[in-house]
Amino acid sequence: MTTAPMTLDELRQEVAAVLAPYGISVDEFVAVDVDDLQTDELRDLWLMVKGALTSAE
Amino acid sequence: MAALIESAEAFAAILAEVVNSTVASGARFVVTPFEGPTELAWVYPEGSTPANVSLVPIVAGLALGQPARLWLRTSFQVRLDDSRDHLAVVRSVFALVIDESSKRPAVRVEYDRDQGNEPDDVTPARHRRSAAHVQIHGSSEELAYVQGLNGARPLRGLEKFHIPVGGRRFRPSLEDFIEFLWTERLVPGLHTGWQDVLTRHRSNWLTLQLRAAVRGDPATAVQQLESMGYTITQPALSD
Repeated sequence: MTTAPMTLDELRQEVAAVLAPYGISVDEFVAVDVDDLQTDELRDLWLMVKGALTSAE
Repeated sequence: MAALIESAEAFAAILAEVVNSTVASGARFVVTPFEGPTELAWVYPEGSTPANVSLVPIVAGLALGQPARLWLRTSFQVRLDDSRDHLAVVRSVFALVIDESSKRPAVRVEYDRDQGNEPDDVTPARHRRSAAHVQIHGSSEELAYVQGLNGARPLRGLEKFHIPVGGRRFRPSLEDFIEFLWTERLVPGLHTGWQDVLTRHRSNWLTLQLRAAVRGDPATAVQQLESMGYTITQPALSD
């Protein structure tokens, strides 16, 4: 089954919502190395969105 | 995008069969296409988003109605390869999770294509970690001792070490991970008939990886086949 596509804006909004409690912006997030992230939540997030978000840079 | 979605849906169906024939029950995997500058898609359990991947409850071996105490995390970012004929995994995570709310893992296998060292890199150690690696959450007095000997500060926990596992071609599959969980008795049980499903899908996986390896190094494949008595005809060069 295929869900509705996710746009770049929607993805950025989703990621921003997860990052909000950490006080990190989306651009700061994709610029760091995954091993510098302090929590498993952020690590998993980075791995799943990095390729999509960095392609827009 | 249609070709990518078709391939990704076929992959999602395989994932569902593998987990539902081994540790889970009724899990469904879905494809979310990315409508952005890069053609890619996510494949993960139903109910997931790229920023919030749902966990698969591990229920095999439990009494009917008994709630899961362990979960499987399984998520993939995929695209078509350069030939646009084959699905390629860009990033993947599978992990044994011990707490549903925090999603705290005990052990995980990660793959991060083009962002880590590969066994066939011309220049070794260009990255801080291997593209395909295992991370174990815990502590190791022995590794702490070694770090101390080498003056490493701060000391890193065991989960900060990326143990290399085969690179893009020979990294562990989800089937290998589930088999590991069972053989090490890290899950309470597997469904009857799990061996046939794992063997079938792992055999297919190995064939796909071998085909990809041959595409990446046809000269070695030709050399090996000729040494076995085969006669190889080179394809005509295209314009």
